[in-house]
Amino acid sequence: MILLQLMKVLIVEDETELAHSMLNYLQNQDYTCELAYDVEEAKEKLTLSDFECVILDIMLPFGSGFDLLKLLKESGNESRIIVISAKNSTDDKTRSLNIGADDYLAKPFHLAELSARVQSTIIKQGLVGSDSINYKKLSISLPLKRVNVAGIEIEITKTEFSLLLFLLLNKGKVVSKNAIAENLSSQSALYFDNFDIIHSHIKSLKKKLGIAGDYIKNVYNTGYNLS
Amino acid sequence: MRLLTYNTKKYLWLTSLLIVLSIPAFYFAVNSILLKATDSALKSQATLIPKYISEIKNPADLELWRKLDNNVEVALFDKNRFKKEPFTIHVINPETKDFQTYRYLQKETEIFGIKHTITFKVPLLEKKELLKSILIVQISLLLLIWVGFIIINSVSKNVWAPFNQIVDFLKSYELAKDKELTEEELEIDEFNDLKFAIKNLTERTKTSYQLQKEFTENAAHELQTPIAIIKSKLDLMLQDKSLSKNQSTLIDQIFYVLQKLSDLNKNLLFLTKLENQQFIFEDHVDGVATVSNVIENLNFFAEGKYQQLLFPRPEPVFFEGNQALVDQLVQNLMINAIQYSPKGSIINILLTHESLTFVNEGSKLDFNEERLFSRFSKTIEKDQKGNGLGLAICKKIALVHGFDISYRYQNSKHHFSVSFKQKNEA
Repeated sequence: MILLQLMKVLIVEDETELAHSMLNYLQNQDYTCELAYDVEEAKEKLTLSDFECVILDIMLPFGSGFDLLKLLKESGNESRIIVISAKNSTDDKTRSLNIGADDYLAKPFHLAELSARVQSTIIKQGLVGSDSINYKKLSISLPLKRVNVAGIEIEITKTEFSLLLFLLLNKGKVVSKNAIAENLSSQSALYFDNFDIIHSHIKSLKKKLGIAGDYIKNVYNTGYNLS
Repeated sequence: MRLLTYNTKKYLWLTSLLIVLSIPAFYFAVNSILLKATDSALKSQATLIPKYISEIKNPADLELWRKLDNNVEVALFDKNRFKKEPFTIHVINPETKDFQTYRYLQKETEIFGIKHTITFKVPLLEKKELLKSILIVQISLLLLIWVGFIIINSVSKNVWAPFNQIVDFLKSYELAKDKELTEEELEIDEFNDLKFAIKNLTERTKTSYQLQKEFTENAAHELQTPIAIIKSKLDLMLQDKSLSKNQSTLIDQIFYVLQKLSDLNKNLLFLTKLENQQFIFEDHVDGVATVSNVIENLNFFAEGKYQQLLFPRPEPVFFEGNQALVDQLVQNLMINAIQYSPKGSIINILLTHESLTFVNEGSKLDFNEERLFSRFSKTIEKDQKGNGLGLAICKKIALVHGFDISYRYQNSKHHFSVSFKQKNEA
């Protein structure tokens, strides 16, 4: 079981409403979150305490997110950094990853996606001491991409694995079909009616999971909830 | 017809006509001048009559005068044959059979108390001769004018050179490309005015184009933040435990249109960036890897429709380009194929050294193929699943890479093909 309560996340975002949304969602995921609205405030908070993860916007007042990112990397700060940017340009993505960001997420994004990214970044870095996620009778191994239900390995497709992982990383939350579609297509633009498709994948996944399939619930046809 | 030729032709016609008309005019004018001169010469001779008469003492003197001066005739006065004014007479030369023209002036004088008529005569220039001289002069003048026009014409071609330069500039003018007219002053004022007017116009057009591009990009960019906020607020709202089914459905519907809005915005931003040429084409693109990657990302869509994405025996293809753009191109074509083919069908992706082709089943298009690649094509929108920009983006991406994108319908299947062959090599 991952102890998220111990994980501290700093959100650096100048858009108040968006910052509050992120804070609200992540706090409900039991992270300890703090907000910074500009580079100076972020620097101050980063010197006061250690954060496992920093969510960093690029366009900020009093300096760009890139500068802060560089500063953190140069000073040997070990926080995982997820860059979020409205510029949606591949140059920004390449640049962030080159400087040393762990992940990049283009705005607008679903909070479920952000949460999943934060969590998998933390897990990947071995900060929680385990690279598998366990929930009730369900256990999935991230590097091996294997799923066990009550100790028995289940054969599932790549799509179904991604779907299950996404739901698990957002357990207890209602995840919209839209967010699922975005996650499955790696955030590439989708121009169509994807709801039937998501539903048929869920159906098949639930069937394969057997008793653990009951953890996944359809919420008024709007989204899904694993609990 | 060139303006120069046109003008020259008109001038030549006019000068030729004037010269032809001037021939009779000259003739009459010269003729009358000659007559006047002759007449005044005759008259001045006539004033000498009293002097001559005073010298004549006897009939023998008179006879001598007659004999010596061929141009004077002395006869007895005959009232019927006397003319007061000078007159012209044509005489046939008995030896040469030629007409000879004379001008006569008669005076009435008394010699030895008897009335006599003294007639002075002067041979006149032949009309034919006169006409001939005038013709020679005028025709050589005409020839000289023609030669002159030809010379001026060839010189004028150089004068028109700056004009032709301006025309060439306008023909090859592209808004997005940086090309400008030279600053130098031209010799001809009109061309100079034209040049500066065009320079002014292109500069103004360029500025407004620039502003428009920036505006589109900024507008699309500014829209991202509110969309992101709405999206996040809806995500939070969905977590509300007391949410009713009705409210939940409403959120779902909002998500749906928000997604459309967001995609549209992303695509507009993307197209603007493409047009602003903000991409660098220095990536070493691996064709097989790119397609495989997109298949992996979009496979869940095909699976959901029980479709199969087949990518059999691809040939290794590498080219210089922009990886992100090529990804987008392949992705859009793939989504297009998945979206418009029936459940349970097979989508074939063929990659060769020459081209990348997507083949999928589907009914024939009920609109013009040319509109397929245009933005927001209305006919496509009726059965809209996308936002009408996907294929327009594909076309633009192909274009900036120097590729050609084409569509054909064959054996009840849609074929979308990107040909790698550089256009300039073909």
